[in-house]
Amino acid sequence: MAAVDELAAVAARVAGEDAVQVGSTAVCGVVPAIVVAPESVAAVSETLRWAHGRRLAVVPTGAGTKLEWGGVPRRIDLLLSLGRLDAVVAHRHGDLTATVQAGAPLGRVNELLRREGQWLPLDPAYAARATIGGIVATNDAGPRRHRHGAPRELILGVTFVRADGAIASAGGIVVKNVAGYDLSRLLTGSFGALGVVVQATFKLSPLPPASRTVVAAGLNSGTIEGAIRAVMASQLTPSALEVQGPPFALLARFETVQEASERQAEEVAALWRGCGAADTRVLTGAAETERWTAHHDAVWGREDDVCRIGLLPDQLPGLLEEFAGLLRHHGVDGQLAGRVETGALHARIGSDAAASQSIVDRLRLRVEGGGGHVVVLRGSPALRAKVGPWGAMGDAARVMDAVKRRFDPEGILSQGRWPFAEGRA
Amino acid sequence: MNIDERFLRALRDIVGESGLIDGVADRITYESDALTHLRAVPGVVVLPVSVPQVQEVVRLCHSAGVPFVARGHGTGLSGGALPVEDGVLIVLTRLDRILDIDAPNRRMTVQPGVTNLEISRRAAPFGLYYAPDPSSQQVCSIGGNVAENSGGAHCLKYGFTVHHVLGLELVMPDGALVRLGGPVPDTPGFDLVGALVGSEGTLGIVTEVVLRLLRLPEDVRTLLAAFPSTDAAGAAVSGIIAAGIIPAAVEMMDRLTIEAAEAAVHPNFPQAEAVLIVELDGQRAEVDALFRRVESVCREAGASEVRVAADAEERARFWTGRKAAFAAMGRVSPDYYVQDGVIPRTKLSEVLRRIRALAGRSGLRIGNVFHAGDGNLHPLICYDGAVVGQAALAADVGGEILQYCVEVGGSITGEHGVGADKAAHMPKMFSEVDLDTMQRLRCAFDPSGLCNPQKIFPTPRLCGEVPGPYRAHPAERAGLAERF
Repeated sequence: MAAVDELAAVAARVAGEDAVQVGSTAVCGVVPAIVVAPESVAAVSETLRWAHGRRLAVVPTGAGTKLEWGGVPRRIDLLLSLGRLDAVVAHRHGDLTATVQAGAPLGRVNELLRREGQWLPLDPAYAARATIGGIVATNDAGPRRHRHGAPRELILGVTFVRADGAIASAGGIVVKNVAGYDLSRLLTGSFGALGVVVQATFKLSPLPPASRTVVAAGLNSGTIEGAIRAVMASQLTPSALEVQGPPFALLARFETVQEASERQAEEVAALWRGCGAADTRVLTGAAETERWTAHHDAVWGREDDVCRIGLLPDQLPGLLEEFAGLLRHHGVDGQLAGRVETGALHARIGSDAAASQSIVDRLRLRVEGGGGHVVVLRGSPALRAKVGPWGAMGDAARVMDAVKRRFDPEGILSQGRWPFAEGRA
Repeated sequence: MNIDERFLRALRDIVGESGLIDGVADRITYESDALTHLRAVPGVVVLPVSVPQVQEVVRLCHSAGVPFVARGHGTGLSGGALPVEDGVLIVLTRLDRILDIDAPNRRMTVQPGVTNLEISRRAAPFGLYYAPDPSSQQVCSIGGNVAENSGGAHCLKYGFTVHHVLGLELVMPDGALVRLGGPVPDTPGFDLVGALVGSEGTLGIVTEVVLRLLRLPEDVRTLLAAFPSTDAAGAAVSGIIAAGIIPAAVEMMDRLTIEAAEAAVHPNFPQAEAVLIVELDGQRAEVDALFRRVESVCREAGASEVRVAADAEERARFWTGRKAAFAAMGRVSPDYYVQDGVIPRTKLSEVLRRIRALAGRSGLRIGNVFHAGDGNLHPLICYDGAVVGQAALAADVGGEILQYCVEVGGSITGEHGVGADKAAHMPKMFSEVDLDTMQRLRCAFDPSGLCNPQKIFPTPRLCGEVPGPYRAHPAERAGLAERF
């Protein structure tokens, strides 16, 4: 790799004088040589064309809230910041769609959409600061995934810059469209390994007129299983159905017209009390908002290790019990929060590398048999080196490897975040 | 290479006498899917009964360099299952087993030949159903739904096939078997399930599908509203969306399609310039509150009549009228061509005006049926194949309508797929670079280009080795193809 000063000088010619910065905070202990923040899609394209020719290792970034997730980058010659591409390009409120640049923070996007009574119904980790590009790159979703789905369910089209600098689009701006391959979904959750997303179009939702949340707290494993089964068997239509703990609580949110929201909240409260959940309360207004903030912060509020767990919903009660037992056994703090019906969870494990390693191993043993997985999103490089961030990928890894080679033959994008083809960069 | 005696013997060894069709008269049966004006008699047809048989057939094709096309029940409307004349047609209708119903987790695992409606039928005893409901759901196979990312009337609220497929088993174009995704969410790695659904059979052959099922809603309410114009009906749709309501379905039919449906299945629709069918479903209290709003929005938009389905039977009658609309055109025209385009919903009036003008100019009648909630138009272009030049004129008219769709930011296909029919229209929507980028995905799966060739892309491309030094392909040297 060339000297940093020379890199910076050339980058300044390519992307503009004010776009380049030497030195940056480390990403998982890897210090980027330079940071480039292009001010236009064309400049992103020019930067990548140059980086591709020089085989520089490039990692795209937005607000950096999820930059340390996944595999540890092996080398970062160029941290490519999309922060200056932060426009809401179009809000077609009559069509319930919006096109947004990658660097726009979700919080600000939703402030704008709110003017027409709409929103992009995503509530990922660090939702206010997290940028559209990062949310797409990680396919990160929160409690409302229960009703609205993850980003891959809402994305309609994408514009991205390929590793070689070419600007490509797929999908479109309409909600229904099957023309061509769905590269929007391929890029969603690809952790910046296949291309640099510069713009995406999403399906929006009307803002719900009213909201109620029912919280059943202090549940033991017997009552929690009954309470989950009761709500799953009912005709209730929550927008979120979450578990959090230990000690375990269930949360059901009803976002709809006032009357239906009230009625359903009362109904689920009665159901849960009937299952032995004595401490069941209906929240609204500020108390409700506060409770959901606490729910988010239970996992994301500390700089601890965090895993993403995917499992079949009926494996959940057993997993909760095992997770609580493992924390007790190792004497570490930890919290789990996730979507009961989807089977998508996040688990925070207090920072103790040895305990984390043992807990991740045990959780993998439990869920992998049923097709589940435990991914280490955030953790010390030592933990990730020991357990492997992704876990088993099966025979699909061969196909992913082939896809990576076709999209990034030189292997310059997000090296190390995935275990796939690294090319020659 | 061509299909010769040795190749046929090898195929027969794999699928047996009963699984192979090589007589000309029998092969003609498979010359098209439901888009009947595109035809090609396949070189040979095989009907495997097991996944290993599919793998063996594909391996054989791969090693012999013979192109192959997968086909389900042949209900596709874009020629996506159009055979290759010197290739193998792999018919998957005998892979029709339901492999697993996991009611507690709301999952079902099925083979590709299972029909769409059968899935919901088998899920019903558990209070569950499969949401995507293309009009052909009684006969179309789930494998075809996966290939085309099929929608249906209810995708406004519930999404398309891609939102309901969790995992796939795929026979790769070299015969290898891989599992993509699975029964749990967020399988680590790239979202290859997302990329596969809607890839029109060009990336491999799906041999197993893990589906997400939904709970049957507590309440379903349906109304039929008659309007003095399509503009007024369109205004009602806008009003519903603006009120923050996402109905399960909003369908619109214009006068010509209403008349055709009346003649064919007698749904007793009102005489009007346009009718809307609006359906809400979900929890009772919610549906109650929202349904009242929908009724008043329709009246405010000038509905001359609003009928609320009193029971399941009346609701079924509304839907019979709508779902029969395509076939019913046969009652008012000797031939018709179903177009499938998408526009941003707010451009409805503008685009309909242009379509009306086009009908006047071309002299062909054009009926309109649409999934109005999501802007998916299905113009039905009436023509008489017996009149010289009319079929070609109908195709031109169809192409022009697609141009209108693209000009307002829409798509050349919302649910029928590009297939062989619309490959030439792809450059209307996508640049050369966009198409090249999509081809990279194809090259990752099918570097030899044998799997359902000549679909989706207007220009065939060679994949080349990646990475590695450049070597010219023989066809490239001969100037028959270009490389990207």
